[in-house]
Amino acid sequence: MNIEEELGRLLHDDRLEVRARPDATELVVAGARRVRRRRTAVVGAVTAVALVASGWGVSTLGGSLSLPPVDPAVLPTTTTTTSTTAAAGGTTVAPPHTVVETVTVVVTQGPTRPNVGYGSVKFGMTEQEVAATGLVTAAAGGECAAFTWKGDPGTVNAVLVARGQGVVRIKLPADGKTSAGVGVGSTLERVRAEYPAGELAGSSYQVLMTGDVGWMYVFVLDAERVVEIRMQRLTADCAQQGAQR
Amino acid sequence: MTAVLPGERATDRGGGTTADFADFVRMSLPGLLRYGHALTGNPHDAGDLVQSVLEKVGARWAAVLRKGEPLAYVRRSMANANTSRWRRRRREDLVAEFPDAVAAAGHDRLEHEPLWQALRSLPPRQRAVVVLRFYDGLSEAEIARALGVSAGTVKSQNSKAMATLRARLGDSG
Repeated sequence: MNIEEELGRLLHDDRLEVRARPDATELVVAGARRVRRRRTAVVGAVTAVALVASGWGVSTLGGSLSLPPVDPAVLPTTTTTTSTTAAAGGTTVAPPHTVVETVTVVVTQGPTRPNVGYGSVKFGMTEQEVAATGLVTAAAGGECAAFTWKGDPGTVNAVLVARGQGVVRIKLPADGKTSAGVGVGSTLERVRAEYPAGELAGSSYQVLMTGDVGWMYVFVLDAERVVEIRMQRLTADCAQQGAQR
Repeated sequence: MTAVLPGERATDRGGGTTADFADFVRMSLPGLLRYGHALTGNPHDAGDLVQSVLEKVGARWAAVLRKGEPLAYVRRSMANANTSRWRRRRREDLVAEFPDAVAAAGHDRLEHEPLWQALRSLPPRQRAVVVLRFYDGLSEAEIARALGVSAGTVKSQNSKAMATLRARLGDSG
């Protein structure tokens, strides 16, 4: 086979097409607005909504899943106030459909999963899957199901599972460390050195991460030292519980 | 205490600019998603890549327009973002446990194509070189400019990529 010709054919194959959500343009425009605001203001968590319709994944499984229509009133422009003050107001709007949901649909049929998490607890896992890791015990939940670490029961809402999204937030146990070695007690200076792309937002230092899923590190600070580390999806619900410590 | 948001004043400064950007997104989205699919190897990452790059571009749309050729700019940014994103993701391996970061992909309608699988298994920069060459038809010099590397790097990445692809396909019959 002539590999050059084959590559040319493959890269122009119709199957490369990816269906965008009908409201993709609006989402991108809203997202751009958010990015611009973030540049001019100190803003904390933001919400991003997946651009891609999930039809591709589902169709390969031989089924068809129709997504609920998106109400333009809940576009993410309304969510920029989701900073650490989010618990105070009712402004946090659950995105209508997120990448985690999309991925979860596929996961139930196959091996794909956003492989980001702390130990074996990963973003997107269902309540049952989190429980099955054996690392956590179920705790009293609110809008989202909550778990605490068996090894660190003092950490409230250590793992939060949002309906339809799976795990959206993971609070590292007291002795947990990020892959760069930052843990509770690290100085802000150290955090900045390891994660220069982050920014201060109120009393925390937040670092947007990229990868399979949109998420961020939140290093909660007290007197310029880390007192808590959270990994959270940008699409996280559970704002009320999210602010608790 | 915590963040205070400024008013909306700055949000839509530039009047028609936002509308122009929306038109640009609408027109270019199908092509960019395809391109992202080729670059990343799976549709989910394609969506994330296109979205994150377009949002950044849209946030400084007037400046991007002044440079001219916004579509070419977006595509170059995508190729770059995809390779650097991978580097950054690798840094998080310890926490995130990516046993198969390179091969991580989803169900894909191209899943059963051996050549697609082989392409997807290439390191992102090699894959970017192949995609820019065979999808965009760019020359080595153009690829070097787009990725911000030397022509020599493009040449070596390209020959490594092609050797891997040939070996893979040879192995699979």
